Amino acid sequence: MARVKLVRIAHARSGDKGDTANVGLIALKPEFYPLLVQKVTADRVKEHFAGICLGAVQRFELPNLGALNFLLHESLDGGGTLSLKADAQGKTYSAALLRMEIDIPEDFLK
Amino acid sequence: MDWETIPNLADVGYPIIEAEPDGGFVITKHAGTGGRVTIESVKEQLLYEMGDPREYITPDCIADFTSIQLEQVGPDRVRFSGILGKPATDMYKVSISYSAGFKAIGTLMYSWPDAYAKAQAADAILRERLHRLGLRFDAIRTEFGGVNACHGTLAGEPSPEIAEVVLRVGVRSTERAPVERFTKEIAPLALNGPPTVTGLGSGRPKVEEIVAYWPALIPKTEASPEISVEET
Repeated sequence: MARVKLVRIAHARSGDKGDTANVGLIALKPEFYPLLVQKVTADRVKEHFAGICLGAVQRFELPNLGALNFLLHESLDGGGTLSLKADAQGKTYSAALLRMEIDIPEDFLK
Repeated sequence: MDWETIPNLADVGYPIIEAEPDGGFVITKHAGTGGRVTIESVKEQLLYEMGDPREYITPDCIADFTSIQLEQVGPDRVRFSGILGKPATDMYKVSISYSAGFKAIGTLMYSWPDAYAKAQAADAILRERLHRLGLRFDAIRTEFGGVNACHGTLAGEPSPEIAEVVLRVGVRSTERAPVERFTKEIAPLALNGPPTVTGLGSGRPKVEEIVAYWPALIPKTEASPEISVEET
């Protein structure tokens, strides 16, 4: 197994709905999507965002787009104009998720 | 992704939809404008601010984003097809604004050497001062720009040689007075705190009244549209 950051196999986009941030995670190639489904679970994302996401994490699958959508509840210090965060809209959480490391088969990226 | 390869970002136009009677459409852009319309860029836009992709509520219908099929049909042309959905809900979305107190955010920039340690020490001094003044806040938040403001602890520890760090402290309260008092505690930090600090050029932080957002639903039966045209 090889350990890689998600940025090697996926791209992402994030935004806000009130105090909830959404992070869309998109496989760079169709063959990477099953790995994302298997490895990037809601629990794993909750653990990854410890200290940032204070609520639950929900995950939705979009196999047609090779993408997962995560909702990170209670992640924006109240959200919108209430928030004291520099990133009150969670715009950079996409990149934060791409920091996650997962184990993949050695020859997968060749 | 690949942001540095996106052409001509000084001349990006708005996207164009070429809609077809069956609900399919092509998304494209004017020739000669910057930006890029690819399956990748379209997917990122589709996922932006999404909740449950099977229940994407719009004013006209509930769209199922898991039914969308994408195809690159030419340079800067992506075709959408196969989109399914359900009728619109029986509710209207109401965007309500309400007054939710006050906040202020102060920033100071610390330079090498020991930029991060200086910013942390300044934060501790500030909090000690606020504590002694007996000020109560609903929230107080410290972030260190250049270190952890975007990604928290995921960013890891900064280099001890980090060139500069921005201390950013925000407070929020239902009362104006403690927030106002907080804004007077930032400048003294530059005079009586850790050295090699700057960034006070624009003066004391401003107290902002918070107009918060409350998205709500009302039954459509509660609202009856009425149009009147009056000549003056």
